[in-house]
Amino acid sequence: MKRWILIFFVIFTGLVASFKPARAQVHTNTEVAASAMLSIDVVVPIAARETQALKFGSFFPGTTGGTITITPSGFVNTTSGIMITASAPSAGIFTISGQGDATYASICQPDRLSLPTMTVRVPWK
Amino acid sequence: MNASIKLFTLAAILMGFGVRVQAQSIAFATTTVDLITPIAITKTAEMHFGTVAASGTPGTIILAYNSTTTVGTGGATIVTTGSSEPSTAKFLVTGLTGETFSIGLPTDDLVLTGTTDGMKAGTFRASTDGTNDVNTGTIAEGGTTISIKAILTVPANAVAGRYANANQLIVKVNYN
Repeated sequence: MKRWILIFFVIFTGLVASFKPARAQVHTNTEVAASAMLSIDVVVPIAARETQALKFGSFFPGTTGGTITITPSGFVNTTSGIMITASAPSAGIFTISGQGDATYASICQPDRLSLPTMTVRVPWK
Repeated sequence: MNASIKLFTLAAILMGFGVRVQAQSIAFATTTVDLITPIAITKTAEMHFGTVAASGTPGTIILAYNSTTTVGTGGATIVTTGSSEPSTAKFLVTGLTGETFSIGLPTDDLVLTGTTDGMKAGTFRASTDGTNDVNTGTIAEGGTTISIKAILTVPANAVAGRYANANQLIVKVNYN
């Protein structure tokens, strides 16, 4: 009887010693990816080009001096005794180019320019 | 004595054939499986360098993590008035909260094509906090956002129009 108990014990011990719980690990080791679009908008650069010079023409200053005003549309007004001669004054004209339908934020121009003996003011600034 | 030797031998045989015995014991064993939430990535924003005006010299435009652009070198001019807004590419990474993951970015320049010659974008970098460059991240509750920045080279006298690369900005992620 003891022998059979011993045999059973030995067999049971062998089974237990060889037993390992089954354990599985499902590890998703798959690389995943996503893509995006790259873009940029390129516009025509803005540029300014003089197409007509600002000319005060020829004039006679008289004895008291005065002012000569040239409007953006080219009309000339004088004060005091200034007399414009036959020469044709003209407004300065610039052509702005760039992207079609685009707007530009500002127009920068000088307040005053000094010619050797007189001063030019920009009244429409 | 003989009986003891036989018993010892029998026990040794049983242990030696443990693998076969294990196969038979699976039906009775506790079986456990750890299921890990798969990692996933989705795009949430495209990359756009905004609007620039080219010039006679080539230049570079730097797109930052905060979706702003600056001129790096050369003659490209950023146009802000009435133009398209720049945007950093963004991706959302989801998966098991707290797990770390690797980030893979394109290492070669990508070409944006338009009406004429292409432009090249490169130096791609990733960030999960919008400030620091990283190549790994940790999945937060609700997902982790990856922002991508880059540098674009604008060739001299680039013709006006839109330049694009539809889908080659590929970001890869995987669990560490």
